[in-house]
Amino acid sequence: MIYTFNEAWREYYEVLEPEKRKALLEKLSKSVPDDGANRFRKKLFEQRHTDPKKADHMIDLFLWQCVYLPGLYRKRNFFLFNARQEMQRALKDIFLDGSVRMNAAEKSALYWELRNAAARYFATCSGSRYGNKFLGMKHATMEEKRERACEDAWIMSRGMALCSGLEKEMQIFIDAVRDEYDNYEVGGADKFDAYGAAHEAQARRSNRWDRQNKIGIKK
Amino acid sequence: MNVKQFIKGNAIWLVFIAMVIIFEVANPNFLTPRNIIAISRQIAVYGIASVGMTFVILIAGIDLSTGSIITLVNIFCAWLMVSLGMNMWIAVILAIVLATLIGVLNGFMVSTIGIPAIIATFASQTIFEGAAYLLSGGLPISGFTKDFDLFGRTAIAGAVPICAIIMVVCLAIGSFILNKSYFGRYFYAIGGNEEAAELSGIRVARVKYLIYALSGFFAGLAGIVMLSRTGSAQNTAGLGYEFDVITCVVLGGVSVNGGVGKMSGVVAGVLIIGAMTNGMVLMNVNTYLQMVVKGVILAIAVGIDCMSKKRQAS
Repeated sequence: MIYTFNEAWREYYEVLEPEKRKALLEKLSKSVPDDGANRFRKKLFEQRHTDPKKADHMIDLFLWQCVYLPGLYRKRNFFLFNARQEMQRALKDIFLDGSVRMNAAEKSALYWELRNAAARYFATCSGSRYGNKFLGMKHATMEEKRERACEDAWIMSRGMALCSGLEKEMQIFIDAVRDEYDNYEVGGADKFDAYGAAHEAQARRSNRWDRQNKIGIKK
Repeated sequence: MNVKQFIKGNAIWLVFIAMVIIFEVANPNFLTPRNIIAISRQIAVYGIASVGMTFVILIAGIDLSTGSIITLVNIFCAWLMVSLGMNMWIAVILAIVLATLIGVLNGFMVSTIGIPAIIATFASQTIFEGAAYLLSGGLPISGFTKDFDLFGRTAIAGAVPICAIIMVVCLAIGSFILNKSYFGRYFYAIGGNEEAAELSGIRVARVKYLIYALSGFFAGLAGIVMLSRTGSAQNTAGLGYEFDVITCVVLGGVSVNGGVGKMSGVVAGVLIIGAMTNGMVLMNVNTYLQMVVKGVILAIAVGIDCMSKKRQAS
């Protein structure tokens, strides 16, 4: 899928701090001519960063899915009904539940927003707290962190889509994570695909939703 | 699902079944109803304490104070009941509150001060082991009322020990927390990528406090069950229990790297350790050899976890 990019919004999608992005959103919404996605961008920002329980607390719901989906993937063989509900909630949180009905401008805005969330995730992948081993006693080497980031990128997007049978619904997210991983790591797209080739069969085998049609997820 | 996949997916349960068959062949008393009830009593302490340890290991932490919390709860509860003549229920509640507060202290050291979990909880282990000795003067405390048998010796219809029911309830609560609650999601997220979890809005420090408090709470409850079962508070009651509990959890598939694991695996780990301990006693295996075997099992379980991680990465 081709996602359009409005050059005027470059800074908004490159900045990772929510506060700065909020200021940019307000500024650019007024100064840049509407490309048909301005309202949707605002809606996306509010959905992503507003804490429904505490207005002054800024959250990142899209980044949360990047963190949570690998965890869900790793325990995918357990508690089928729960996992199904979790996936439905995740798709709703990142606007993917209705992505097939979106127009091109909205799809592009969602894609770039998801890329921004993925970029924020990958920015943490070189930190000292990432990928630590043996009960937090051994720090991961940079090489181990890179391997782990590749694994996370694949399982949060394509892996999760395969084992939940939601490839079509998650396509924008898969594209966003893969492309952003390619931006983060030299030859990232190739590494992403190579990891996928080695693990795709395993993820497909875990797809109990499609195998058990009786309780298949609503599409 | 082919045979290879089935074996891979259910390896831990197959090991348990194989172990039961081996012990039954070696000693026909192993699968008698009486011995099964005895095993269920023995594993209750491991099972209850394992719930808290699972949470801690899921966030790539460790709690070495579990054994000393069990000891201190034994001594403290017995001291309240025997030396102060306190009501059983009040003593039990106070002992569990104390255990939870020790967990909170661990959370404070790990999360607020930033001491590595292994050092912070090792310090706690030493502090509270010493505190138990100070409180008891190094002597065992016994002479509880008959009512106190409820937690460790009473069985419904003579067949279902209350302590086994407590263990099942704790494991079910643990499973519920991991699979159905927000906190369970937070545990996996923090174990997977702590910094990203924090940026997404999770108050990681608070969650760590909660996890260590829960670990203390479940260790305290395990201590009460143990005290009721043994009928005497000993200064060595919880000695080495942290390693048995860690073995149960890691054997059950909870990754030492954090973020991976489930309560059903921990149940299998607890059953294996319980059956193995009982089976070796029935076969008159030397106590020191039992320690060697448990150590080897822990090393193998961690080794398998590390190797599978390496294989996955390659």
